[in-house]
Amino acid sequence: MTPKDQILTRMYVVLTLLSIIPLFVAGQVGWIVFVQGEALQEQGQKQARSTVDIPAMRGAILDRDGRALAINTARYDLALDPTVDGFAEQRASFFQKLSSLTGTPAAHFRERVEERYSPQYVRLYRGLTEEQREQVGSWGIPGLILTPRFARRYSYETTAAHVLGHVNADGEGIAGLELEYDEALTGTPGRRVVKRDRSGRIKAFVGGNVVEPDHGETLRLTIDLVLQSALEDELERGIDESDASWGTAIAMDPEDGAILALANRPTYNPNRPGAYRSSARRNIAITDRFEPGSTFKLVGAAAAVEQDVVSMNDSVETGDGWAVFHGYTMKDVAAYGTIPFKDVIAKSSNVGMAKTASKIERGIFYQYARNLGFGQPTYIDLPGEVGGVLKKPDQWSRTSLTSMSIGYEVAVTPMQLLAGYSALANGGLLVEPYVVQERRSMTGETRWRNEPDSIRRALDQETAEALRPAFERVVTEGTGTEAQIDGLPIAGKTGTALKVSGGHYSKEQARASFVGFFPADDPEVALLVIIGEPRTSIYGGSVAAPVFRRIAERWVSSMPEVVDRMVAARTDAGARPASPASASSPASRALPEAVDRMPNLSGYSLRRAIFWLRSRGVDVRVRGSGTVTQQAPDPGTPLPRRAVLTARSDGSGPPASAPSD
Amino acid sequence: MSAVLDKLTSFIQDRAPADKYVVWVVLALTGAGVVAVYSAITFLAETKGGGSPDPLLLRHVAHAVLALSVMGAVSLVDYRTLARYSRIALIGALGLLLAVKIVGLFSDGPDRWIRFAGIGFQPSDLARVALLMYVAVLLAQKQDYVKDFTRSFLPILVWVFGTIALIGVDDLSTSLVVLMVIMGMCFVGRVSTLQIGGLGVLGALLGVVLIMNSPNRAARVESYLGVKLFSSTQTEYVMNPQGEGYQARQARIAFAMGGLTGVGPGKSVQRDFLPAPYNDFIFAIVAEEYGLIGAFALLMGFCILLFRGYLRIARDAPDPLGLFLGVGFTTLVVTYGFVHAGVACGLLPVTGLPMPFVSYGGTSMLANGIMMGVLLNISRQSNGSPDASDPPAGPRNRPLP
Repeated sequence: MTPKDQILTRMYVVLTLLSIIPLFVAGQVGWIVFVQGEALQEQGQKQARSTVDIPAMRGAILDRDGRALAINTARYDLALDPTVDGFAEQRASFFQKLSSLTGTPAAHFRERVEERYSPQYVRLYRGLTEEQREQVGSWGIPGLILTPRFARRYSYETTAAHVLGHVNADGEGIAGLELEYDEALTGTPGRRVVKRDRSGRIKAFVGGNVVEPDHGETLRLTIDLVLQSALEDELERGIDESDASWGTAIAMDPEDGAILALANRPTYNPNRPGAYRSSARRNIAITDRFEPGSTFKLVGAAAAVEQDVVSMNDSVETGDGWAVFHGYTMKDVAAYGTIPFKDVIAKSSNVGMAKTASKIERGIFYQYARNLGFGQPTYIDLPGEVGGVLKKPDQWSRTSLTSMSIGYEVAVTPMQLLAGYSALANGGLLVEPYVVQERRSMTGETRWRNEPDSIRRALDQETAEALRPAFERVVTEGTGTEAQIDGLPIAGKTGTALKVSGGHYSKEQARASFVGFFPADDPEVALLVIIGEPRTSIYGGSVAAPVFRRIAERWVSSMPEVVDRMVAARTDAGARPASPASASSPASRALPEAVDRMPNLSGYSLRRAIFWLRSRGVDVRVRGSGTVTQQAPDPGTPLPRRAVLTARSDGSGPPASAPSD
Repeated sequence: MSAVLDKLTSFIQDRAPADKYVVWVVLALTGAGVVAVYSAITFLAETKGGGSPDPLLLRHVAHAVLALSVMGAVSLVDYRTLARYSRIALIGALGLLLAVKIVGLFSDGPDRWIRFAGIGFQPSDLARVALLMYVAVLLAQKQDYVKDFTRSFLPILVWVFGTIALIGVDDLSTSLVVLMVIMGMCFVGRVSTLQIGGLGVLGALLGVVLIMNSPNRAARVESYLGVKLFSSTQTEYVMNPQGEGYQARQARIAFAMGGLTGVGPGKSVQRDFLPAPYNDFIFAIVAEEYGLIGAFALLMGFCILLFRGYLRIARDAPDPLGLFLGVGFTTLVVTYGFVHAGVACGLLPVTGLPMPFVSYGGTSMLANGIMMGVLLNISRQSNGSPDASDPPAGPRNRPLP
């Protein structure tokens, strides 16, 4: 064999060996594709696809007229990957800038980064606004991660806080309507199929499957923002003036149970729920129960009248203002002597009521209390409601009937009490209170509408009509004259309950209440005011009734029919033209419709001036009668809480017959 | 001016034509590489660059144009002339390698790169070309006494291991492939089978010792075999999701996704999961986007190179030097291609070998261009058929007896 042949032979050997390799490769590739193909494809698709939630927008909450009480805003969560190149150099200045932007000390951020749990991720701040986000973006810091999300904003801050409730940091409702209707408000998030790479980053996937989110529903409430604001205003003022520690006020339409306004004090700002104590976040109107006192006399009166135990004009012997029932002495505020039953209510005689009630069978009394909604929840669409306590007759002691007739040994919620008086107002039907009128889709179609219904007939129509005048007398000449409004018939009842403290009823922890409705003969609003632990006076008639009146005064100005009636009533009542030259006299001049400053009132009739001021929430004190001559404060100053008017009757006209308040 | 041009044209036209098949295959591989790299580079572009893959693609195209130009230029230079400078070139390349090592000692971690005026290149790529060429020269010189161990095989081994010692410490796969190719050349160059076999046994023993001494290497072996063999290895390394098991699995998924006809140009999903898809796993990306057909086309390209290189260029080389060079360079380029493909489909353990002319990477492309250029020049000087006119005889270029 020549060397050349040897070389060529060896070359062919190497060539043969080399040409085997591609055969192996081809075989392996074929094996992967045709034998393992399907399983591997599945693995590949699984790791490369991922679904991402498309968040559903939380529904808004609107008032009766569509004003937005709770809405969504875009917020951004700021996180950081501190290991990204270039962050370390800008670290110090970044913390400084972020600190001055958010108001959180820079040391806090530094600490968070140093003590982070995950090496490449640390959340620095939750809820940057759009503006702040733009600022942060403009710094050009590497490694920042901004995640958008929806946040909740309550446009009117504390207004209607207890009705609306609030959400937690994750946007889930945890109180109020936000909790009760959480499911409807939340909606269903959608999904989007995306591509994912090995570091977990997400990329859009053209043609990927998309499930659109079902956005949350919008709630339209029965609450009227304007009425609510006025009510909160006056409640606050009533608490301030009586130096009380808490209070609650509810107003509803007695015909169908629609809640027009609901407020508690203390209150909180649902935009920052964490900044308040939990007691401030409690919706006293439905979660607190207490002994109602005299307002509960409705039950005994209704039972007695309907069962013909007594009629409104029958005489009741109240004697010297005290009586002993089974060894327990019951007292009145004063000695009323023998009075008709209607005055037992008007003057709120405990003795008279107890004596009347003791003639009612236990079971009958219990049944009336039960029928008027006591001892069971009202099933209002707000969370956390309690049912109150109404003992069954077989658990009663010998004094229970008489005690219960004047509102002790029972526990009711403010809402129950108001529902009971609504039954009196609407002719005997117990209604179910509600806050949400309808639910709408994000695009505006109505998805659900509340169809209010009465729960049961609690009283006969005749009974209700027979009782009503007695409750009107409470306001006209009884314990509730502080609630009186000229020209507007109001029916109501005062209540003064002492809280049990250390086994005794304590005067320091009284609850003064006034519950009623107006206009008495055709009720549009049933309203309850409770002032807790007042210092200036413990009586509902002097603490709660004025708050009731001021709320009513401000409300009726937005009820045209009621205003017409009032004007007519006043004209009938003898407000004849103040002077012969009435057409040109300032008395008939129109007062400005809505201003926030004192107008010049001199020359107006006292009556008109008082009406104008009261409908704007100003307390009026009057000296004299007739035409206004002096006023304090002066014209042009911002509307005060109190005003003093001095008037004199000008000799030419008949004496004005303005009743003194 | 026109005189110069005329002279240049006649200079080119006077040459015998180069091997057309090799030129076309190289062009086709380069073209396929540009398309595949464009797709594979997107992930790198998104994470490192400004998001657009275009600048990186432009670099790749520039590398390709440079490599093809060098190939053309080298094909015009007589390979014997180049061979004359191969010793100096090898020493120079070794000097560069040494320089890189020394610089690497003072910076953090091993560095295979030299950065010069903003352009980085890996001297190891040039070293292997120079080494192969010089071994071919040595083999041709020592044909008369080639069976003598001390006079022929030993000097060759000294150069080979000197170079490999410098490349090999941290680029084991390159050294191994180069060593195999050189052993193949020596075998063709009539070195005693016994001597080569002995060396092989010695190498195998050394390999086992190396594996036993390094838990890291042992773990890589285990990872490839899928069996736990050594007690010293740490299971965490084997289980590491970014480790070799992961890479091999991702590459297989790429083949499976591609199926017979592929998912279509630019639609690769696995490029996001494979590390360095534009380089170490370009074959898998091609297989994913163009399917079995695309993968087999690439393999076919390298097979054509192999057969043309051996049966046409090397066999018809005018002298032993041409033959050895033809065999050496063909084998090196083709082996790189096959090993790359074998790694990508999980046949071989994971190593970072680029696929010649297809993968991204300037220096390796340049080295391949030089080798193909030499191959083309040999083909220009072929004697057409084994019995054609004899080339001029010289002391070093005697025709084979």
